[in-house]
Amino acid sequence: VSASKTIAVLLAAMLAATPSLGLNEVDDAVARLLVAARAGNDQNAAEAASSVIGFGDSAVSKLLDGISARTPSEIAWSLRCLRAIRTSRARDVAFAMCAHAYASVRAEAAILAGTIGGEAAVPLLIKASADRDATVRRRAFDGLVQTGSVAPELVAVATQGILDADTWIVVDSVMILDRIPASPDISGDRVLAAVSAAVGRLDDHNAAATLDLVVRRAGIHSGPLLMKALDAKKPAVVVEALDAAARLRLASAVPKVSRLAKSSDRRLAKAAIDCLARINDSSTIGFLVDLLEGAKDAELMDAIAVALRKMTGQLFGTDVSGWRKWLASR
Amino acid sequence: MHTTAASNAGAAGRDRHPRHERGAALVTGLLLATVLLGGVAGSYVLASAFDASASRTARSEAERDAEAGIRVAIGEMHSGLDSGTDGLGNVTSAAARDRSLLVRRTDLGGDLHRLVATASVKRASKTVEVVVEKKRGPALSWVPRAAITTKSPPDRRAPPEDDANDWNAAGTAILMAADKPAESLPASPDALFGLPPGGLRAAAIASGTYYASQALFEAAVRTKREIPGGCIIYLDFETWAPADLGKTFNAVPSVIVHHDASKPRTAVNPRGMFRGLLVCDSLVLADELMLVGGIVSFAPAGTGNAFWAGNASVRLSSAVLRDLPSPRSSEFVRIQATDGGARP
Repeated sequence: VSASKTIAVLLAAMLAATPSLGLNEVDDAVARLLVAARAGNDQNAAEAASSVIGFGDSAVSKLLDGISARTPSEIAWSLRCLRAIRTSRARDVAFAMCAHAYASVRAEAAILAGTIGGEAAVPLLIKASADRDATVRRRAFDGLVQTGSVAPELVAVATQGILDADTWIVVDSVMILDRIPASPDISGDRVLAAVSAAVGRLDDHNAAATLDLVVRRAGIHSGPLLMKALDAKKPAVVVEALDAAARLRLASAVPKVSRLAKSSDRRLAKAAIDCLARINDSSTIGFLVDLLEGAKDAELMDAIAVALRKMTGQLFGTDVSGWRKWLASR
Repeated sequence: MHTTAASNAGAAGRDRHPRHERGAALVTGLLLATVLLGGVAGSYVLASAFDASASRTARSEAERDAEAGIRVAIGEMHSGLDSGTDGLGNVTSAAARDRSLLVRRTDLGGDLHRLVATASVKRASKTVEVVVEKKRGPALSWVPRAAITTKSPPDRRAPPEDDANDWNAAGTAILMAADKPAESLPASPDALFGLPPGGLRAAAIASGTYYASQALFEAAVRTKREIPGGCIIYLDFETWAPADLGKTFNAVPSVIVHHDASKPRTAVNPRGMFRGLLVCDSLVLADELMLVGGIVSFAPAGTGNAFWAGNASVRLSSAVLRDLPSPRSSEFVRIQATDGGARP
């Protein structure tokens, strides 16, 4: 009896000790994380964070306890762990920290809010998207992507985002606009209208992604917007618009593209010639032969020869008389 | 009437066989004529045969010369070195009095050229016409089915998201959700692309994108604000810290190789934006990284590979990985050949 009593006592002691051992491990892991964060050692902090995240939900309370009193670096690492654990218990803290004095904290809070806050986080994130700190803005847009929201007010924010100097924000913004459902009547589509209004402000780092979005979203209905982009002042935007027009084989763009093919800007002229070849309107063959005859630039002559070959399958290269004879014999 | 006996005898004889003698002469004459005619005809036949044979030989030599001329022209275009002073792809040769070669190149645009070679040997000539295209060597191709593929199981956290979907080349839209099968990797990056050992390194050296130090590489990135596009970049230094990939995407996908089989390399905190394939060993942290394409880590177990803790986003894009650069130089290939005729 005494032996069984002893075993029972030992088992009870072990069972009682198990949770506390687990808690101690969590405490230790969080303590290591905070020490590394305070010391500013990102590599050690990341390793400690990896352990903390491994505890999952059981680490949440410890991460949240007294979080406001911690240093900015400690808070940032705590928020990172909470994001990886994806706990909704951190929602209020995340929302509150979006207004923290330190940018590093606001940034982590924004992405955490977006990850766990859903629609409720959208107003906060819209505010954060105009933060003075570039990293906070980035995380705010990341957060907006994470929410999966299609709130109407996001159209304006994301349209502003595609004009941001940070390519990261451009990519996020295109993703946000991309998931907003298109109107059944595409001519009344809010996204298309907003992008159309911003076309004049596109540049080389956002034109490709934006016009790709437009083509995927509206197909042939994006013609008017692309015509507007073909008139843009920045050559990089016109080049992307030419590519988009070629993807759609936009016949209505031919007169404008033909004018661009005569441009003194070689890059623009080459893109326009390529666009004509891809649209492949047979009425432009004669125009290209005329253009070849007057061309002096070897690269342009090459581009025209390639365009003519693609359109006709004929191998006259830069031989204008050959092309003329062939045109006459058709 | 006086006659001698002999004359008489002769006369008698002539009188005896006059038709006989005339026949013999005729036969002899005919024979002689036949022999003479035969001789003349034989000589003519022999001369003709000799001439035909010489002509065939000359024509065949002309054909060989024309073909050789085409090869010389292609060689000039390939090397960029003009063997004469008549322009790349043009060959003019009149080495011997009765032998000449002329190759003329016409640019058909878009790396397509027509070469017309006319060779003359004695009285024979041959024209060969070919259309050649400058073709890029086969491109690197390896499309995994997950954003990050590691040779050994990652010893720490893998990226939390984005690794199962196939994105467009802009990194803005998911084209399809990809599977995440166990991917087995070959022994080395070279083997990954079916290249001989050192193939990637040699390709980078050839394209001027081999960097023996981080400073040299950073200078190249700084100049453009982005990673050089459309090339194989070989980083031949041990620790890449901080691993800065530039502020905006490279327009054309590239391959970055930072690997050493004998002593695994470490890329510390890669950040920035990159379109292409990052072939590495150990990745320590990854923050503020947006990569469209893929990452493959050859780090052996226990070296801390594929560790993620920050705001990295790695998006698998088969569209990008199918558009990787070629490790081989361009070559000219014949795409059309025409027999331009022969004379005589």
